[in-house]
Amino acid sequence: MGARILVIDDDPVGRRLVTYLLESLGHVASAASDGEGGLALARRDVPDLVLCDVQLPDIDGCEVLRRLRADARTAGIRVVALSAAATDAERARIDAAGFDGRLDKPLRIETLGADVDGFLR
Amino acid sequence: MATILVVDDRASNRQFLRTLLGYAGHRVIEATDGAEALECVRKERPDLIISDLVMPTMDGFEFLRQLRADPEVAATPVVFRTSTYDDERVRALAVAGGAVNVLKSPTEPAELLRTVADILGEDRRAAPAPLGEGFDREYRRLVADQLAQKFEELETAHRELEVFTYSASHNLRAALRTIGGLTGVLLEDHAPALGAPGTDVLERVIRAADRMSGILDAMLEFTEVRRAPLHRERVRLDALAWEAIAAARAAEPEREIAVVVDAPHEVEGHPALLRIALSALIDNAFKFTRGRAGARIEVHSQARDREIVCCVRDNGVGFPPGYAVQVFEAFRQAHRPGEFPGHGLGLFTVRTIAERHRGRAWAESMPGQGAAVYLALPAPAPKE
Repeated sequence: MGARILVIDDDPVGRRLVTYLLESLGHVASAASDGEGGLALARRDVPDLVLCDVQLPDIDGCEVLRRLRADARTAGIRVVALSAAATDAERARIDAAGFDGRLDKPLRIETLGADVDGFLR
Repeated sequence: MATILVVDDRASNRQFLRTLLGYAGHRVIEATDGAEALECVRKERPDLIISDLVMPTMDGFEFLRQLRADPEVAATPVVFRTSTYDDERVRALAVAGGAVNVLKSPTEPAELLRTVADILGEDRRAAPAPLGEGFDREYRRLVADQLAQKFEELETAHRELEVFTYSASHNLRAALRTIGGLTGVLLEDHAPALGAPGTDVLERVIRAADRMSGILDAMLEFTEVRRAPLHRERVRLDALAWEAIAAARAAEPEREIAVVVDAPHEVEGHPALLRIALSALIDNAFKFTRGRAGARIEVHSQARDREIVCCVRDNGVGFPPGYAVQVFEAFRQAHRPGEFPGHGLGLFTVRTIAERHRGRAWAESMPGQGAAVYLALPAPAPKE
């Protein structure tokens, strides 16, 4: 059964590719290109899962997570970081932020479905 | 002037020695392996033999042994050339066999000419002592060691190739999914801008990517078939057949196909692999009866000569008898590409599964009269 998944990513092609693949896997995907837009969608739709890029043009992905958790309506949503982190320090910072998981960019397309199912379980 | 026999399987080496020795005023005759060299020695009685050690058919040591065993020519001095010059055992064995010298290959011209002059200047009328048992024993040990080493190298290379195939298929598949996905995005989001011709191009790209994806999946499955540790269980052939038939029917629910299964025999094998094999056979039968009125598929089994033979027969298009062997080869199909779906790995996988179980697979067919594909597995031991 499909889940409702919100993708927050400022890279338009990557964002569209992920929503396309999620939809072809039977999920319902929505997308935002920055943190504020993503937060607004999350509050309105309360999806099952948010895939959130860490480096966004307006606010940091960790801050998006903090605000989602701080709002009672969105506190229960599972949030997974999409990270292109090049350094161990950056990865450690993301892991310490309290995400429900982390997917490294470039995303492994062939396991995306299984990865997402894992986060939804 | 002396007559010198040059024995080497490589033409370039022979040419080098011919030129060099000819320049020094000698008559040079040539042979490409030990057997040819022996013949040549008996006929031409050369004054000296310069031989490679590693050659096809008969190597240098075996040549030396046979030369020494023939009293007529036993005294002919032999010089070996080898690129494994540093191997002490090779040198020791050559000397034990009565070789006068062992030279490194490639050989310095000056060194070669000096060695030749030295040997020809010596008085060697007395035949060397005949070869003892020690030589044969040491020779066998050397050959066995070399074989073991080659075997190990081959196994390593094979393993590396399997790992390579597996990771290459994996990575290609990932890249391909991205191509397919992005093409899908283009088609979905930008169809109006592309117009009908553009859309058509993209649809073909997607179909090609799907096809390639299928090939890569089949390759990955094949690597699994090769690598999976073989564990054995008893399975009934008809159970496997019905399972495969149900799956094939579910994929084409609109087709009417008469199915007969009379395969009550049990075989002993890896259930997952046998399932793959039966599915491939049934899928083929479904595929090649497509478009045929009164399509009929039969699965039979029979015990004969310590084998259980399973036969999947259809009344589909069949293939020319000349294709019976090549349909089991990878990426070889009896039909024109695109005429029937498939990746050209189905029967290749079936054959591999049969061989992993010490069994066999073969096929019989006439065009237009259907095909029968056989899978024979060793009969399981009788139950207690």
